[in-house]
Amino acid sequence: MSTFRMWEVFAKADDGPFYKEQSEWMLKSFIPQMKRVIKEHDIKYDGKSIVNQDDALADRTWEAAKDFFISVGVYNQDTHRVMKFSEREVNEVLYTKRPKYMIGAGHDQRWLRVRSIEDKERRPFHLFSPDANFSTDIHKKACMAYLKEPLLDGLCAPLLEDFMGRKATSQNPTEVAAAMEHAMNLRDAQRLVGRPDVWTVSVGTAESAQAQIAAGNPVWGVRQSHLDGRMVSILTEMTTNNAMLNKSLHYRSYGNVFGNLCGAIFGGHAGGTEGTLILQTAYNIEGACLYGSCWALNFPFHLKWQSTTTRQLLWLQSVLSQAMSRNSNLIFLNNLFANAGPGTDQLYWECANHALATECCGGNPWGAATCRNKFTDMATPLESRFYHEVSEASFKSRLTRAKCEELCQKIMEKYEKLIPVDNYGKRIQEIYDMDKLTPRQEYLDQYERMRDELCKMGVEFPY
Amino acid sequence: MSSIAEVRQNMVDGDGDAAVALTNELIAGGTPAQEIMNGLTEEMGLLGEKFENFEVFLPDLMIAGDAFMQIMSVLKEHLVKASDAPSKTVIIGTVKGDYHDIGKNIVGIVLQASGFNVVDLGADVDPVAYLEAARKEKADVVGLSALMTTTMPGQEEFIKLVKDAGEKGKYLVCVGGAPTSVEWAERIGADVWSFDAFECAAKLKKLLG
Repeated sequence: MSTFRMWEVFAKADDGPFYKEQSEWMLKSFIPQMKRVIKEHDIKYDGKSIVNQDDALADRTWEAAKDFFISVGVYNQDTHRVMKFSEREVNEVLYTKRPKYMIGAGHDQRWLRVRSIEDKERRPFHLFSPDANFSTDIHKKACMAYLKEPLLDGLCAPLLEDFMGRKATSQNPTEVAAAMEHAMNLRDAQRLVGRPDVWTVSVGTAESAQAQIAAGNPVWGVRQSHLDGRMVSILTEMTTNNAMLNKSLHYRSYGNVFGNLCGAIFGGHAGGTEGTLILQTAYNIEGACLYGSCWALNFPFHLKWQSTTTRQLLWLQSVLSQAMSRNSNLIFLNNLFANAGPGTDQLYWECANHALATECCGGNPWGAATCRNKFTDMATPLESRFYHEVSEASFKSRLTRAKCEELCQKIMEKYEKLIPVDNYGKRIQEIYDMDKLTPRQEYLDQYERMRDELCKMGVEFPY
Repeated sequence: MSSIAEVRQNMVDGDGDAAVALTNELIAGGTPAQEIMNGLTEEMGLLGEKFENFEVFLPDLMIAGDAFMQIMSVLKEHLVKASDAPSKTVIIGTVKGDYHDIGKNIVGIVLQASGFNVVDLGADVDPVAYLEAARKEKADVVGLSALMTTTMPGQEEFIKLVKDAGEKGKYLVCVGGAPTSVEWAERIGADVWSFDAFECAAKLKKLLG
C-alpha cells in the first residue's frame, strides 16, 4: 500500500467494519484497545518529569502507537465504517515516506525534514504561526509583521475573522470569500516585505473543503507543489469524514507538501497522559496512511485549558518526538498553545518551556498561539520571536535532554500555578505600532528582560 | 458490601449486564427503585467530581454512563410513580459544519448524571433540526457546541431563528465550546455560557430549579 494509492485508501471507507454509532465503536473498540496497549507496552508517566530521558520508553511508545492504530483503524462519520490498515500496509507507508522535502523557493527555500534527538547538524524548522483570528483591517499588516521575523522559515498566517462586515462562517459564501481574501493578503504581504517565496501553510481561514479549493490559485492564492503547504485534520478521536478525504484528494492533486493536523485531547477519549501519548503518536501514522500527508502538526492539548504547556503535555510532546525520531521517517512539528496572552511574563515562560522540551527531542517548533486561542487580535510576532529564538538557542548550544529537563523544571515553577488564571494580556494593536509594524518600546524592554532571565538560567542565545 | 453498592461498582466498572441482573434481583426482593436510583446518581456525581479533578478520565465516565443508561432502562418503569416531577429536557448538538463532538459528549454525560433528560442530536446539526427537536421534545434547554471560530456563527444563527419563529423564552439557549466566551454569548443573545460541563450543569440546575 503506497501512500500514493489514495483510491484504495478511500475504498476502505465503503468496505470496513460497520458501526451505526461512533460511540458504539468508541466503547467496543477504541477504549478497550487503548487500555490494552497501555498495559501491554508498559507505558507509564511518573507525573513529574518534563523531558523524557528513557529511550526504551520512547521505543515502546512507538510500538504501542502502531499496535493501536492497526487494531482500531479510523472511523468514518459519513459511511459509519472503520477504515482499517494491515501491519504490512502500515510498514510499507512508513518505509516509503520521504524524510525531507525542499520547500519554498528562491532565497527562502528550506529543507523540512526529520531530526534526531539532540541533533547536532539539522537545525529546527521555524514555523511561525499565531493560530488566531485577526480583524480584517489589520490582517495584511499582521501577516507582514510576522513575515519580517528573521528566523522565520515558514508561516501559517493569522485567520480572518470577517468578510465585508459579516463573520466568516463555515460552508457559507463568507468563508469562501474570506479564505480567498486571506490568500490574497498573504501573497501581497510576502511581496511587500521582500519574501515572496516563503513557504506558507494556507489557508487557516478555510475550514471547509470548498473554501480550501477556492483559495487555490497559482497567481493570487495558494500556490501549487512545494511552494505552499496545506493541512487536513484528524477529527477527535481517530475519526475522519468525507470532507477531510476531499481535502486530502485536492491537496494531492494540487501537489502541495501538505500536513496532517492532529490534536489528541488530554483527559478525553484516550484518558490520561499515557493514553493521550499513544494516541498522539498514532495520529502521525494515521495521517501518513489515511491522507498521505507529508508531515504532521502535533497539538495534544488539555481538555480543560486548551493549552499544550502543562507539565503532562510537555512530557507527552517530549516522548512523542523521541518515539518518532528514533523509529520513523515521519516529519513532524510541535504546536505551542499557551494559556497566557501577549505582554505577560507568563507567556514568555510558556514559550521557553515548550521550545526547550521539544527541540532536544528532535522536534520542530510551530507557534506561538496564545490565550487558549479564544480571542481576536490576541497574538503578536514578539512572543513567536522569543519562542523560536529559544528553540534555536537550544540547538546551537547543543542542549542535552538532561539539561533541558533541569531548565524546564525551573521554568515550570514560574507559571504552573498560574495556568488556571485567565491571564490574557493585550491585543496586537497595543503591543505593536501598526504603522511601522514594530513592537512598542515597553514591550521590547519586556522581551529583552525575559531573554536576560533565561540567559542567567543557562540558555545561550546565538545573537 | 451491600447490594446497591455492588450495582454502583458494576456501573463504575462498565459492566452493565451484571448491574442490570443485580438490579432486577434487588427490585424482585423489594428494594425501592428510587433507592437504587439515588445510589447510582450519587455514584455518577462522585465520578463527575473525580473527572473534574483529572482523577478519572472520559473513558471511565463513558463506560459508567453507558452502564447507567442500561440500568435506567430497567428502573424507568418502576420510577414513574415515584418521581414527583418530570426531569428537565436538554437538546444538545454540535453546530452545522462542525464535526467535533467531545465537548458536547461530556456535557451530555454530566447532564445525564445530574438528572437531566438529554437528547443528543450529534454533530453537524442544522439550526432547523435544533428547532424541530426543541418543539418535539418540549425542551427546557437547547445547547449548541462549536469548536471552530468559523462554526461559532451557527450558534447565533439558531438564536435568530428562535426569535423569528417567535419562540424566544420558551427554552434556554446555552452555548459553549473552546473558542466561545461569555462575551460572545452576550453578543449573540444566548441565555447561558459556561466554562465546562460541570459549570453548565450547575447553572442549568440553578436556572431551572
